[in-house]
Amino acid sequence: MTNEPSNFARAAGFKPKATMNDVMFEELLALRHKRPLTPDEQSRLDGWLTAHPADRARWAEEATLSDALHRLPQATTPSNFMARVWQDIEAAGRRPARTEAGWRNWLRWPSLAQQFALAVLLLTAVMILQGRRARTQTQLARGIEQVTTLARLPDVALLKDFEAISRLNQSAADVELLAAFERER
Amino acid sequence: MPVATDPDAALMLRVKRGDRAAFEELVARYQQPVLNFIFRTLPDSAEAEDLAQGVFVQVWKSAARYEPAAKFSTWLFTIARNLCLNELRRRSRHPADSLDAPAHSDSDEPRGHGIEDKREAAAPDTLLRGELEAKVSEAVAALPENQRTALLLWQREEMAYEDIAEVLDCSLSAVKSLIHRSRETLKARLKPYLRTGEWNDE
Repeated sequence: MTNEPSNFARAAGFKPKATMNDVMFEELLALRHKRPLTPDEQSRLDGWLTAHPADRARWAEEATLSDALHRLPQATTPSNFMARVWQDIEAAGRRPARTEAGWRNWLRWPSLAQQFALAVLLLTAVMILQGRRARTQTQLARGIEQVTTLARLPDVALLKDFEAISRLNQSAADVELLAAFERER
Repeated sequence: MPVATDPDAALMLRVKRGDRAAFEELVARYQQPVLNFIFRTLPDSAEAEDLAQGVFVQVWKSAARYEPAAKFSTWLFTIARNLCLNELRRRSRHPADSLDAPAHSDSDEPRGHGIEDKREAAAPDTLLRGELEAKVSEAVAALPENQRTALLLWQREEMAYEDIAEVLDCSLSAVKSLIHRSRETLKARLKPYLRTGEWNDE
């Protein structure tokens, strides 16, 4: 670890030659979490803490926290890590190939799946057509039956005196006259 | 970032051309930092290993699209962070699921099956050296995701504020604020332990 002020210290706004201020103290606190302070940074810090004893407790707390964070146990890397990565890469490489092969099989005419799909389609079409034809015939028969029931025509003989009757200009039907016509018939 | 100033970017350009040795070199350099980063987010060593593997698989798969516009480590930790976020989201949707479930792979075989792990089984007390370290680990894991990521990346020597801003996709001042807030949160949570000064003994 170099003791020269790093780019990070400069990027963080810490200017080694500048007079310390609150912002720089905060930056040193942050830097303490990244790495040990350089001698120059340390001397400036010491000067600051002498002038501001109230900050000593805070600095001590931060330093303790920083040490604790750096002392956390490392996760143990398995010895076969690289091999497992290669295994995963190869498995991932096989996956899309399998998917492509699936599509290729589907596109190869006539695949079993396509034959089945076609058969189902044809069967469905036949069933729909048959159902529609049966329904049409039934509806036609029912329609004719309804018309013949409702529109039963009167006997032609009854209509031979139609004009004479209409000329009578009666508001209501002459029941006796109609009965006479019936008898005559 | 010019390739000349970032040797990892130069390695990555070799990986882009399909150089397996360059890839293995990158994995060797970064497996520990990536694993540590994930382990601090998801404190389960098995799941952290699986996710870390996923990060490097992603690196290999994305190599063709890699452009050395930024530091390699920035790109790498962006991938690691995204995978962690995906895992955290997946966990919030399916709390009972584990990464070890076969859904992670399309094979029924357990991951790493057939490849011997020669690592010696560590005693639990060596994984976390005592209660104090456990408390710190817990406190770090409990930080909001962006604060934790900012703090963990800040601890890495090569990561400047600008690099962290790129990983987190936020401004420089936001990064500084996140690091500051993470420290304040940790101090508040660990105050009783920090005051005793027990960590200063070593």
